[in-house]
Amino acid sequence: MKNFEMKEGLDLAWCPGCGNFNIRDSIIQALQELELKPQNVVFSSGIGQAAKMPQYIGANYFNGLHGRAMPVAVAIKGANPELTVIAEGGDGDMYGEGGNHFIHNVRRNPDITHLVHNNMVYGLTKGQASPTSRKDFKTGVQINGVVNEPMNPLALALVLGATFVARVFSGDKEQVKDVIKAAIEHKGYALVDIFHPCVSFNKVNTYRWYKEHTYPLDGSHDPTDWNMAMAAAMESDKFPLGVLYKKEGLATFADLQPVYEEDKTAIVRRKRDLSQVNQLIME
Amino acid sequence: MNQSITLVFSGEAGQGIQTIEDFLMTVLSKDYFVFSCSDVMSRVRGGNNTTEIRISNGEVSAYKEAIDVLFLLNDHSLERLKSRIHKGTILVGREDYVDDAFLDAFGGTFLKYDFEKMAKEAGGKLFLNTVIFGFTTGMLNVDDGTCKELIEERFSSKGDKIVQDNFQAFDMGYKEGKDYDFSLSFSQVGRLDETMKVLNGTQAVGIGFLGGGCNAVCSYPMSPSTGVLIYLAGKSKDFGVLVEQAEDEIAALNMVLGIWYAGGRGLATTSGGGFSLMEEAMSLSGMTETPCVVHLAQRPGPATGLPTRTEQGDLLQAVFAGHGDYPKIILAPGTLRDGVELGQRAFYLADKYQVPVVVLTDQFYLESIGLMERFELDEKYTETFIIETKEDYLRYRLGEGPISERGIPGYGKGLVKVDSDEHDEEGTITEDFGVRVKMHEKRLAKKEEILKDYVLEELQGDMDYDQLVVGWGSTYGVVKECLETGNYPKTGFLSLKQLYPLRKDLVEYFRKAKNVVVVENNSNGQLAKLLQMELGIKVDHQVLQYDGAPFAVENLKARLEEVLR
Ligand SMILES: Cc1ncc(C[n+]2csc(CCOP(=O)(O)OP(=O)(O)O)c2C)c(N)n1
Ligand code: SF4
Repeated sequence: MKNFEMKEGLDLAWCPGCGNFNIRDSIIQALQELELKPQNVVFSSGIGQAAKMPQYIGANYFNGLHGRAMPVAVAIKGANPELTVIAEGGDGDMYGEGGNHFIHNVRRNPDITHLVHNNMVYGLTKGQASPTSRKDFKTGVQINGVVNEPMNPLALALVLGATFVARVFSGDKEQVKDVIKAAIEHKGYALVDIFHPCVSFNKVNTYRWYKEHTYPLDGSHDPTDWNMAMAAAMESDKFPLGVLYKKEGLATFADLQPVYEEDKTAIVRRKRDLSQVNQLIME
Repeated sequence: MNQSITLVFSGEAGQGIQTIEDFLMTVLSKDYFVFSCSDVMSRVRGGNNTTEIRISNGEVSAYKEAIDVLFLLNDHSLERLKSRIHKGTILVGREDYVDDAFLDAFGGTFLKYDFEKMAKEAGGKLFLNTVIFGFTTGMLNVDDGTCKELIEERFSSKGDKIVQDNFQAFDMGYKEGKDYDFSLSFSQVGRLDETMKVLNGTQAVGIGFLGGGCNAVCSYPMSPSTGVLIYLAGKSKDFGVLVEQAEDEIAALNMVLGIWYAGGRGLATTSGGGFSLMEEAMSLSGMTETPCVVHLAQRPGPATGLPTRTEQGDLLQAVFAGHGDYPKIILAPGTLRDGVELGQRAFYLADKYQVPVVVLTDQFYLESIGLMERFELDEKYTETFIIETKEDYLRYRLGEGPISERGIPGYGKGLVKVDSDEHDEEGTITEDFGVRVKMHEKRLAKKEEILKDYVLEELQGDMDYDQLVVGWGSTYGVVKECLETGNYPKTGFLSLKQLYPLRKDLVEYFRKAKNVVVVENNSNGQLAKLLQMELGIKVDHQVLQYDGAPFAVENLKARLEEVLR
């Protein structure tokens, strides 16, 4: 058994044919190729089918509440910057319930990787619209079809100053792996929006649909050019795949904390000197 | 017998009343017991704010209604305070701040001083507080050299000119104050500053949290809890505290859980409204057995209530916080020393039992300034309980009692897997009913363990009582003063410091009592309900107040008289 793989016979709670299987393979492959130690990798996830991912990977995880993976992830990284931290969940989890955390944590530029499984539907609760559902998408709740504009997470992330923005499709395992590797290696906040079909509840956005509505970015795209990235993010006839934007060298959440200004030791490894506290009472 | 005098300063927000309070408390505390509290409106400028300072020859930590000396700093401050003055009150202020009709009816002393004019002569409006500081210390015969040392200390960073101008302003006030010979009817206690420290409740719990090893605070601002966030931010570099203003309280407590999961000691400080949002994460702490500490600073609700006033209305919210059953600990400091000690103890208990701990205070407790005997924190409570994991580490190992060893990521060979769903020993989601029952019982069994570390209550008054007054949190000082200065035979005062879980033996205190009175600053007797619910204790009388103000000594005395023999 290789690192990050788990014991055989795992009972994976995903539907047969779901895109999540491929994503899992890609993540494990990425972690292995980066030669990370499982003990130093932490997943923070929310609730949903996608958010179950950490259960099936041999690493540390904090599988918390619906929408709340981001604040937990950012805090873990803040408390111990030596850990590799990945926040993972579905589009409902991260963009819906966790929308406020998404917005504000992009602004913090934490050094974490943010993997969002975007299947344009709520899977675990059996097929309601998600913030990325396309217009007219019919569900048991949206009986006349979705009327809201779909959210554009990539454009939003770019506007908020994200330092790494990418989109991939789970059908291309190799690309998913490569982009996740680049995201983990990126110093700062890295969003990877992962298109994948929900075979049970989304009969519109199928494998075929994704294939027909996406195209890979080629050498003519310059990921250091924010305007170009924004233009790519705004495309919705066909969605571009790959790294849309990448900006290196910006200070991260932990870098900017006064507590790490002079002393880089992770706060979890510092010991409180009680005599210093007693001084506060004596002075 | 203790004697005291009550000074009140009343004016607009922005006039510097807080500086007067700070200066006076610092110099007066050298020779007298002092206590101060303020009534502040929820606005940044204008309005009418008052600060009360009590000077005494004995310990004092309660609000008194009757004013002995009232300083009026504007033309409308008298209006709100009319009911608090009496024939013996000395009014001090500008002639036109008090109308003749009122003066005729009042019949007491009115000292007419135009402090604004003096301030302008000294260099500008800004010096108003220094002039008044001078006047008050002159009147009370405080050594002017000591006062000037303080002025120099506070203003030296702003340059010599500012210090000199303040000296001049001070002298102008001091001279006038000295002319009015006001002598206290009691003598100085002397050299109190050698053994006592002046601080407010915010600083007390702040020091306690640092003593507990707090190394991260993630919060969203809300009065009256924000002071703690500011206090810890001020100490962040010296003490190694990560400080983050979260986007909301939901994020705040989830961040705190992330901090603890990674091996840190996080704190969230909030008030009732924010705590409502944190309840989801309280429940998560319970399920994942991730420790956390929440400082819940109460103010009147429901909803936004009275933002700057006080109440003890969130006890039951804390007890029932979050969905599902899980153990938690609720501590409520009554004295400043309690604040320091329980602040420290909160982190120790959270870590040891892997549960959420709530430190319950309120606006009155946090913002009142008093004296605390200096002491050293207990090393015992700095113990941490994180283990280095082995390869076969299981976060929720069963069969070892309710507390499984807690590992953290990156320390040891094991993996740390925690889950908000019901989970097995490894931390993997499960829907196995048998495992559910075992895990649930393991978590719930912590309650009995927690009780072994119970933060003991305090009993005072007549040990051979047959009437028992019970209180919690910030009513400590006022109940104590009422019982000490009133005439209630065979009466004891029981103050609880750990409100949840409650230890069974507490019933012994009640068995002895023929008359049980619970005093609470809320409208539905939340402690009384809790005592009934948890221990089957019947309360005979409840003394409740919920107007947003703390109990006043006179008021509580009168109400106790109705129910105590
Ligand atoms: C506070 C809260 N609200 C609602 C739910 C119910 N819920 C569980 S998963 C989910 C949506 C999941 O959708 P998504 O994040 O897109 O993930 P998917 O299952 O599609 O992978 C919801 C609403 C919950 N668990 N907690
Ligand atoms: S519900 Fe949809 S997204 Fe979830 S596992 Fe099944 S197919 Fe995949």
